[in-house]
This record gives sequence, structure tokens and C-alpha cells, in this order.
Amino acid sequence: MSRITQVLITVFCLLQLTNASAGKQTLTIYTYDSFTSDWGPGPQVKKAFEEQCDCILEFVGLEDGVALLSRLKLEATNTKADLILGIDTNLTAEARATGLIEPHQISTGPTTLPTDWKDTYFLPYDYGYFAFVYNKEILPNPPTSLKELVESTDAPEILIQDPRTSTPGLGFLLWMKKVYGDEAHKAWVKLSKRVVTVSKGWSEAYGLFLKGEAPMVLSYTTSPAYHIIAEEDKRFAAASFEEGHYQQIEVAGLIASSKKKALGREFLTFMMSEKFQSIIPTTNWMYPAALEQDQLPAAFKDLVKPGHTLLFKDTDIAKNRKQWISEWLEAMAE
Amino acid sequence: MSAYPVLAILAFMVLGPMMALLTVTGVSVIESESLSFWKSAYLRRVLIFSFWQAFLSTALSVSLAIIVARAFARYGCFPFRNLILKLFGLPLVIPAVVAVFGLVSVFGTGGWIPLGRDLYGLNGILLAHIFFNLPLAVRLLLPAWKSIPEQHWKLGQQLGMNSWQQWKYLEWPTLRENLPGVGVLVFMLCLTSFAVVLTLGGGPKSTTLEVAIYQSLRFDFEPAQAAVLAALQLSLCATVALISFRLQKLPEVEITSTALQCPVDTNTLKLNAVILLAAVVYVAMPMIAMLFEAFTGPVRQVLSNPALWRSAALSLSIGMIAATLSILAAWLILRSASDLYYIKRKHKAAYLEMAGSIVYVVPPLVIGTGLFVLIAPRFNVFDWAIPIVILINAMTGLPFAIRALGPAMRQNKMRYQRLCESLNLDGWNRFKTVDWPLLRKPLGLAMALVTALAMGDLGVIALFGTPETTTLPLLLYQQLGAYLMSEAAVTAVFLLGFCLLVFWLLEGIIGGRENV
Repeated sequence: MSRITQVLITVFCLLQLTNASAGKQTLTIYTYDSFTSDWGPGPQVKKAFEEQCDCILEFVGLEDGVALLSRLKLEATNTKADLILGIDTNLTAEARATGLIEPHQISTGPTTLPTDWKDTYFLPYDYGYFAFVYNKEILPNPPTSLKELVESTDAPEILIQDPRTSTPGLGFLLWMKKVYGDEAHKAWVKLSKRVVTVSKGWSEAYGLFLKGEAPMVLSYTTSPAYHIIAEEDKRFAAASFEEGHYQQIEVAGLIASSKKKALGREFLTFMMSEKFQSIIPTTNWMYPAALEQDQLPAAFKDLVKPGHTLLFKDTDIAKNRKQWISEWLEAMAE
Repeated sequence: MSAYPVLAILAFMVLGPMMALLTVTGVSVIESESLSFWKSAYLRRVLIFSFWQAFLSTALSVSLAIIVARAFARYGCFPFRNLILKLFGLPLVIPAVVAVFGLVSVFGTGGWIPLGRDLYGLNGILLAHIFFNLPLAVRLLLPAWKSIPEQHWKLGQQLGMNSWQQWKYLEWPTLRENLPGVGVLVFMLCLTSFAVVLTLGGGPKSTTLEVAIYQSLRFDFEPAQAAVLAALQLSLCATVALISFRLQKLPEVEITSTALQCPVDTNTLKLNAVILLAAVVYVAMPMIAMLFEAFTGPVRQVLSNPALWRSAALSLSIGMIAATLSILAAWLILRSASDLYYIKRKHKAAYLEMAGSIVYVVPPLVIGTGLFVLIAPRFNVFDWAIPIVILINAMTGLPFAIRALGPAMRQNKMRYQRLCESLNLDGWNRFKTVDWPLLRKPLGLAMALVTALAMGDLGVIALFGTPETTTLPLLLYQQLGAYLMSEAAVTAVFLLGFCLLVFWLLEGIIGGRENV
């Protein structure tokens, strides 16, 4: 018995080892899985950067943005990541406080965000506004405000993401908080009746929406551009809400314990370049953070523009996130 | 080497993580923030839901099992009897996440009996728990009917008892002795069920303690909160275990199906046939639906994905190493135990064998959480994923290995010890000429069973798994989580087929042919 076992085990251990390749430096980036998927920016970014850096760029795709931060906290200084890419400004204060992030020391000159960028630890790569996306044929009269979505008795059912793992999920939680303040708990109890499911990441919820599991899904004002450009399908739209839309700025940061900081900074500089930025609109379907408006695809011009931009200060979120999330959990469990 | 080093390692594997948990819990109780968690409505809800789903699952599984077992016992001889018993043994060994997928293909959107969204939540959890525990309970309850003496039936007939009176005076009194044991066992299995609740529940409304532990570690990065939950789960399980010890009459989980003697053929009823058919359909349908969906699914696309084969190789390595460790430990424990039997110290021997079943009291996920909390501050926990999963699976497999090997090793000792002593047969020679020929069959069964169970396990790997260390069940869970249903169907059938193939090969190679 034991000999057969040994032989089999040795064979499979060897199989495991053959994956290791030698030679070039490898830059490891933790990100969310829709970034690395075949249709996401990952493959193009990898190809473009590897052409200029003589290195191997390795993306590790995790569930979603918030899970990125949790993973980083768990691994702390033992992490294999050289960079993280995909948390947003709602989490930057908390991430800075871990002491695991290194200042980027890169000029923020090229940024074209609606507001000036002052963070010395994180660099933005794209931004957008959360919105509920719907199919115009199935839902001819979508709600016109967040209050209508929450309070109207005949409001549609929705798909959302878990704020404990997903940045859109967290963004929506903050959006509700901005609009309802201390009444948010009650509003969530009301809304929870019409939440079809709470998914771990953005990809799952959007996939379910496209399969017709619910008429509305939490996504971005820019999502319809995907259907218009990639599928020439004009049925999808984002509902514009009177209260305004919560903003998301997605960022990347260098890990302090990384031994490849020079290469990491080379990537961050590349991230701000036109080459990287022009990949973003039609792969990540967001507004690039450092590209002039006139270089955007035509379909982006017809998208919903939020009347007001809603955003909490990152330090306020860091202080309250835990409590707001347990409030959400309790409301959803009721 | 005797059993004691093994017991020491076991104790260390259980107590080390427990200490870590208690320390973290102790610290966190002092911090006010965690105190509020103790009091939070969410924790209360999780606790209530854990109990409620386990209670409902047990009540439904056991009461349905009584009806099915009664139909079975009273239907008399029929051709597919043993085949059905074999089918009822299947839910015990197929990977939980595969079975869940089977249920989704029957009851999910687009399934044969679509329940739509109602599947996710309490309904789905109950359906799955009945799928697992109804057949188990039937097999555990059937011996009760077998133990009713033939004269009693005859007497009943002479007295002209109708079906209800037979039930009241003959069957129920015997059954009543067995019920608490079966009930507690099923309750425990449902209380600690992880894969089912993770895949079919898991939303804030339907979260059990086990899944809440996973979420605190993987979603919230709250080792302290996870420790609180794990400590709670541990005390719950310990309480249930204590109750079951007081019941004394605990059912034996049978590994192989033993053919039942056909009982007295009382009034054969069409109703019994209908009940049996319904039970068979319920158990077989998920498997058939899944096969159907897989063969019409993207077979080539899934099978050409290198990630699938990487996961398969990893799962096989984990399974085989875990099984080898498990059998080594079982061997050492049983050798000491049979030495004790030989000198007529049966109680001590029984305690020794029982120590190997410690995982029944301490759920693997709790041990995993303890190790997580222990390792996380010092090293990168995700580097430790594979060794930890192997160790914990070896522990989970230990009771099965002991049960498969125990009787044979004891018998071997009692029969041949004298002979070997007189022939001065010792060590390797003795193993080669006496032990191996007699023990290779149970060894093959133990190896096959523990390997297959470890290969299909979705538990601790969920805590430690990363994209680089994805086992087959974890891959299937990810596909389910991403609602890639047609890919998941192919993966589920692949996993099931792979487990069965490995089981069959190991049992054949190690156990040898029949009648060696």
C-alpha cells in the first residue's frame, strides 16, 4: 500500500512544482476578480505593462474590493502582494491606518478627477457613480429617487452586494446613510423585503440581473455603456435619483513590506499613463481618472450625470464602518 | 510506538486551538466593543436560527424516516431491497456541495420543480438536510424492526391487531428506545452542517453559527468575533454530546450496508410501495437531474480548464495524505486498544477508541478557526492552508478509520496472538504473513473512504483557501457562488465521478480482490 501511495503523492507534488517559473521579476497585485476576468482590464493591462517592464505581472483576483482590504489585514507584513488595486476612497483611511501602505511619491498632475487629488498614499485609476441599472423594456417606469425605491410599495425588487466584501455594497450602504442618516436602519428594514439576494461581489449580482432574476441591480451609471458599445444593445439604462449619486474613486497603493518597490512605482506611473487609462472605459466601464473627457467613447456622453455627488470623508467612514455594518446586518436579518 | 503519542498529538491539535480561542475570547470580552457583539441582535438571531434549522431538520428527517423505515420493514421481500439500501448509503459519502448542486438542479430556477428564490434560505437548508439525514435515519432505525421477535408479530396476528395496534403495542415501544439516539445524532449533524448552509443560506437572514464564523474571518477580518462564535458553537456541541452520552444507547453509523433479513410479511400495502417510491425518488432525483444537466452542459470547456485539473490534483493529494495519516493514527490507537482487549481490559480499550472520535464533539471548523487565530498574527495563514486542511481532514477521518479497522484488528489479535508468540513471529514478518492478508480489506476500505471524504470536503478549506489553493469542492462552490450553473453541473459530476473512481481504485488496489 505505502509504496503506491508514495508514488502517487510524489507525482502530484511534482505536478504542483512545475508551475514555478524562474528568471524575470514578478510583480504581484491583489485586485478584485472582475478586473482580472477575460473581459476585464486585467489581460490588456498585463500585456501592455509586460511589454515595457521586462517582468511578469501577476494579478490575484479576490471576491471584491472590501475583501481585498480584509485579506491584506489578515496577511499584514507576510503578504505576497506588492500592490493592491481596487479598494476605493471609502476604505483609504482604514487602509492607511494599518501602516501597511507606502506613500506613492508620484506626481498627481495627470489626474482629471472632478476634484483635486491630495492623497499621498493612494493613486486613483478610475471613478464612477453608483446607480441602479434596469432594462427599459421590463421596467418602463423606474423609481426616480432613492426614497421612492425604498418607500414606494410598488417599487421593483433589487439585487445588491454585501458591504462586508464588496465596494459597491459598501457604497450603497453609505449612500443610504447619506440620504437617511439616523433613519437608515428603518429604511433598510423596509428595503430588505425587496432585496432578492445579497451577493459577495459585483460580478455575481450583475450576472443574476442579466439572467432576469430581478428587474434592477446595484451597479454604476456607466454600466449601460457596456451594453451599448460591446453588445449594441440600447435597452439598458441607469436610474437617475433626485438625491444625487454616491461617488466611487478606485485606487491602488504600494505595499510597505514589498521588496519590489521600484517596479511597483513603475507600475503606478504606468497606471496614470494614457496607455493604461484608455483601456479602462471599455473594460472596467468606469470613467478613467487621468484621461481628458474628449478621449472617452461616444456612448459615455449620453450617460446619466448625477445632479449631486455624495461622498463621506474617508476618516468618518473608518470611524463608523463597523457600527454601520452591524446596523445593516441587523436590519437585513429582521 | 503505542497509541499515546497519537493521543498526545490529537489532544494538542484540539486543545491548542481551543486555548487560542479562549484567550482571544477572554481578551475580547474585556473590550467593550465585543461585549456589544455578545449582546447584539444579530448574534441572537444567528443563535436562534442555528437551533431552529437544526430542530426542524431533525424533526422532519426523523419523522419522515420513521414512515419510510416502517414501510420498508413491513413491505417484506422485494427485488430491489438491497439496492435501495445502498442508494440510501450514498448521501453519507457524496460531497455535500455536490448534493447541494443536485438539489439546485431539481428545485432551482429552471429546474424540474422550480421553487425559485425560496430555495435559498431555510427551505433549501431543510431540503438538503432531509436529503442527507432521512436515508441515514432510515438505516439507523431499521434494526429496531429487526429486533422485534417473531413471536410478537405472531401473537399480534392471533389477537387480530390492526396496523395501528401493531404500531402502538409492538413497533413503537422498540422504536422509542432508538429514537433519542438517532435524533441527537441528526441534530448534531445539522447543527454543525457547514457546506449546506454556506451554499443555500448564508444571507443575513439564514446564517448559522458555523457560517457566521466563516464570515467573521473572511468577510469582516474579526478574529476576536470569530473566536466568540467558535466558543459558543463549541459549548453548544459539547452540551449536545453530553446529552447523547447520558442517553447511552447511541446508534452506530454503519459504513457498509448490511443486508437486512426480510421481516414477517404483514399486510402488504400499496401505500408502503408509494412511500418507498417517494423516498427513492427524493434521494435519486438530485443525482439524476445533475447528471442530466452536466451532460448537456459545457463539458469540453470545463474539462479543458487547467484550473480544474490543478484542483483535482490538489484534492487527490490532500485526500491521500490525510487518509494515510488517519490510518496510521487509527492503527496505533487500535494496536494499543487490542492489546488492552487481549488482557481483558475492555473498558479502557473502549475509551481509547472513543478518544479518536473527538471531532464529533469539536467541529472541524472550530479547530480550523482556532488554528487560524493562532497562526494569523505570526505567519501568513494562507501559506498554511494545505497542511492544516490535511491535518483536520485526517482528524475527521479518524472515527471512520477506527470503525473500519477496529473489529478486524481486535479479531486478529485474539485469534493469532498466541500462535505468533509461539512461532516467535514479530515485526515486519508478522505484518507480512499474518496482519496484511487479514487486514488489507478493511485497510483498503478505510483508505478509500477517508480519501474520498477528504477529497469532497468543503469546510476548513473555505477558511484558508485562496485562488492558488483551490480544491475541487471549493472550485465548485465558487462556480455556484458566481451562479455559473451549467459549468457547476459539469464540475459537480466530475468531482463525484473522481471521488468514486478514487474510492474504487484504492479499495481494489489495497483491499485486493474478493476472498484473498
